[in-house]
Amino acid sequence: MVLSVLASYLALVLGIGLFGHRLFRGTGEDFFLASRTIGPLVLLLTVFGTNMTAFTILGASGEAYRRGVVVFALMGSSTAVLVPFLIYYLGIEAWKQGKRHGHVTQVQLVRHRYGSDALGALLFAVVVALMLPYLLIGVKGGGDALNALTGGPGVGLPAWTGSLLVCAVTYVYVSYGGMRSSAWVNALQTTVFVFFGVAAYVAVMSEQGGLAAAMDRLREEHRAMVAFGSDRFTVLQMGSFVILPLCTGAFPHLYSHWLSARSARSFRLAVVAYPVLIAAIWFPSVTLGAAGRLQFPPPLDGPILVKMIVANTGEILAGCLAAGVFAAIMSSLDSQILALGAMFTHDIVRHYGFQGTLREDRQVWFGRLFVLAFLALAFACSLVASQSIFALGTWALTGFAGLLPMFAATLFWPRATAFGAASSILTVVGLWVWFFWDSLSVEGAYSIGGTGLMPVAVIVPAATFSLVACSWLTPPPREYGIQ
Amino acid sequence: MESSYPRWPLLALLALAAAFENFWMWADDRLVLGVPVNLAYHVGLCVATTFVLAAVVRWGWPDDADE
Repeated sequence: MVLSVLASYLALVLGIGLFGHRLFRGTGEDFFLASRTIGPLVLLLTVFGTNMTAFTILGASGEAYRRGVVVFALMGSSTAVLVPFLIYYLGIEAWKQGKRHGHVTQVQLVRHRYGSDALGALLFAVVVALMLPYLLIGVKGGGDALNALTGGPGVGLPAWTGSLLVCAVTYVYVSYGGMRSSAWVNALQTTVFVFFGVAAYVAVMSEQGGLAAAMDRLREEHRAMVAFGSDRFTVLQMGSFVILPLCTGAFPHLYSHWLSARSARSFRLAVVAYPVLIAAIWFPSVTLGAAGRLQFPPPLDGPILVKMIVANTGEILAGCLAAGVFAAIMSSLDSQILALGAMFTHDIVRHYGFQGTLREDRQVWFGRLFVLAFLALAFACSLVASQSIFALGTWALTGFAGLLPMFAATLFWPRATAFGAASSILTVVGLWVWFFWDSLSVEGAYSIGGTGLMPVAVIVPAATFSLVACSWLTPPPREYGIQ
Repeated sequence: MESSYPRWPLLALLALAAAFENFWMWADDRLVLGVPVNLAYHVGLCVATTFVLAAVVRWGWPDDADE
């Protein structure tokens, strides 16, 4: 039954994705940006859906199972406060610049702003490298979820089948319909995982005697799970979690969605509704994960959310959950691979030699082939990756957060120079490698020297300092930025 | 490149970020309406952020955004 519901859902997704192809105008701008025609509601659902990954659905509940309800603050409300402001500042400005100058990718923006080819190449390499672990979250999450939903380790379908399914379905509708299909499917998928999430939550919590009863039991049996003080945070440590959502402002796939907007007014709904939607997704995810501690004592073999649904509801709802999880995963994966395809097509194929000599449809094919190769690589890596989804995600997000000062300066600070931008990117790369290497000595550790301070809290200020210092030490740009 | 953004939305963001640090009640394990008090506080913060953003969109929208 689980597989039947899931198969029906995937067929629906493919149908909508392929329908999007019927409106395809045959140009690169239409394929990668839907000819900049996306309206407010679809923009909201697609931007939100893009940011909701397996990291949110499976990672957050898993982390809440280990640490308690504090996870809502660490990753939920911090995102709800920061991300809408990033859309307000960076999204609108990026859209304006992109519309005015015909940008499709971040690398085009940076090359145009600083007039540096090498800087664009550096940024391309760093963004692609960071996208691999971020893509892995979705690919690996799909495999883990399908395995758990069909019986768990040793019994259920092997994880690689779920990973392969996610990759194949996403690739088909993205490569066929481009941004328009991706946006429409994202709108559907966001609706699906919100709707199924609420249905599953109500069903599971009813089995627990209601939310209040579950929290009361949790308070009695595991007091630390309901008080934030359990982790002995300092204000500085807690504050470092507000920095991590900065990554959203540097995601190449979110940049693509911003540029696909019909007008600046299209952003208004996304700015206002984002925090409430975040709360609507993270609250059930976190409370279910924490309540899971009552029913499944450690050690846990599989995603807690899936185990709770399977143990407390019928097979149809479990199938709906599978659809919801796959929706969350694919609504991010499609945007990510489309953005990668756009980058490869515009920043490599068109930029280095094929501009004017290769038809637009052929250039799009280059993007499709690159995406196929990249997905194959991500799938192969998912077979051997051992870190938890949350840990994988956190490291990828850290790198993107480090790139934010450079992007913000590119859009808003006329005095920023190519040397400043390059030094900022190189600072991020150097510190990221150093901290990641250091963390390997302690499995899954994400703090500097065991202090609890997250690496992102050091990388972002260091990248900012490097940007400002090198910009002031080098001659100002000839034309103060994009006029 | 000239910014047409008013300053007060940035101040509102800083105020919300400061409100995020509810350190005075981290050790509190009471339940409010069946929800841990710290969790309820942060859900309330999300709702408050929505109201602030509605004000930003209404009164703080950059002048040249829709050109």
